[in-house]
Amino acid sequence: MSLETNLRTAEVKPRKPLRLLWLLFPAGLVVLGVGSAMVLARFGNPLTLMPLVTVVDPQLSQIPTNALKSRATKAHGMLERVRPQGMYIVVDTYRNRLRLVENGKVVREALCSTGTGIVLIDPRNKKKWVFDTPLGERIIERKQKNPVWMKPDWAFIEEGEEPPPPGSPDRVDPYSLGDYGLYMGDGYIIHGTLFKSLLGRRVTHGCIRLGDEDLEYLYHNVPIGTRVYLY
Amino acid sequence: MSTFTTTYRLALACTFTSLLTWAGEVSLSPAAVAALELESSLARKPNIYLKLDLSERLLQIKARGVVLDQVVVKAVEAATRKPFYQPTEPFALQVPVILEVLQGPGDTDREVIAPPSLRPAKRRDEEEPTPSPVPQGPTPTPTPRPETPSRYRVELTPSKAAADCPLLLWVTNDLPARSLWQRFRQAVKEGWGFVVRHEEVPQEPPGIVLVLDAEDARRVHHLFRQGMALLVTAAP
Repeated sequence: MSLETNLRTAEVKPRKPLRLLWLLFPAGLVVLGVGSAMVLARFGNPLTLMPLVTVVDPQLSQIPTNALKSRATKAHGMLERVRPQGMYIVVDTYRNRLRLVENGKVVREALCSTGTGIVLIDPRNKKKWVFDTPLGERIIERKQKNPVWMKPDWAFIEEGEEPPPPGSPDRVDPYSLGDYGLYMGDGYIIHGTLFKSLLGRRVTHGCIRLGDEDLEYLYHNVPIGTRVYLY
Repeated sequence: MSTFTTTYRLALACTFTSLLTWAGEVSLSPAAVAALELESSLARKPNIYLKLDLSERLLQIKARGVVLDQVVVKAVEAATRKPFYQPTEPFALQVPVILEVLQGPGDTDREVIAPPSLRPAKRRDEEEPTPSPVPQGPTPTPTPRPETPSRYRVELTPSKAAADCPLLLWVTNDLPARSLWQRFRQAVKEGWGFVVRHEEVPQEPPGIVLVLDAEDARRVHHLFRQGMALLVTAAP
């Protein structure tokens, strides 16, 4: 063995454990990391999706067929009794559409405006108003030609003004409601608007605004007592 | 034909189909009768209620037994938070059941106006003597509203079906991907927060995940408010 070879061997030999260390170190890190992660994962509570299965109350299956039949008849009869007959109005407050339905058929469909859903707070006493079109069933209680709006407190507070005393002539507004008003109770009215371009948008304080032609049609064709479904 | 008319006719068709089915005494299963009874109890009140038919994959907006509108449910799943190493089992919901909204986006996602102070109102005699009925100037433009979200959570009342635990309804326009890797990553993140930062591990009641079209999810958003009833059925 030459001197040169001896020297090379001497150079290489001490490097062997170092190379091994370089290999083991990252591997050890990975093992440590994964191990730690697996331990940490024990403490987590991740969101998990799973199939939804439906189960029926086993007591229901013990009901005799005759009893089942009579219960079904009773429930169906109840549904039939409460179901609206003849003419009714449906208002979609998301799409701002009003439909007049007669005997299950849509006879008129109109663009309308409904409540903004905004909350107004009176700075004086923190009283709250929510400008929602109410959901549920209402009834046309009365109809009025050339309705006059007696502006409530919120109409002034919204403008940053102090409300005048009740009955003040400053509250009288003979223009904003348009030519006709169909009153649904609690101050909610189907009425006209001065701002036709805002039809189809949620801009009102809870009332339903309609265009002139649609309002006139409703006024002449919808009898008092007609049910209104707002959703 | 407009979308409304189409939807409405579809809803009517569904109503009449169910009536015909009833008349033929085909659907006299105990579950169907129980669902009918629960619905008749809801229809007695003048409120709007929602009917989720899991087998037909329909969410109907109803009042007095009449379908006012409906949206198609693209997928239904259950979701819950559970330890990563716990096996996943199907979530069982007892039907038919009426769940009630405790709090929903219809209660919380609202704009609030609160003027800091009020100035004295302008008196009528200070204004023009004969105000014009037609407003002058440009039409007022309403403040742009934030877009209605298409993903939201609704808290429902405790239900027997969920072992007396509150139940959530998660409405979304796409099913969240919850692969093994994603769950592991979330579990490690939460574990790290718990061990190192002493954060609480999130706990949530189990929930029903409804996947709707984004527009449909927005359409029903405002209906999920306190007191709204949700009838869940799965007709055989």
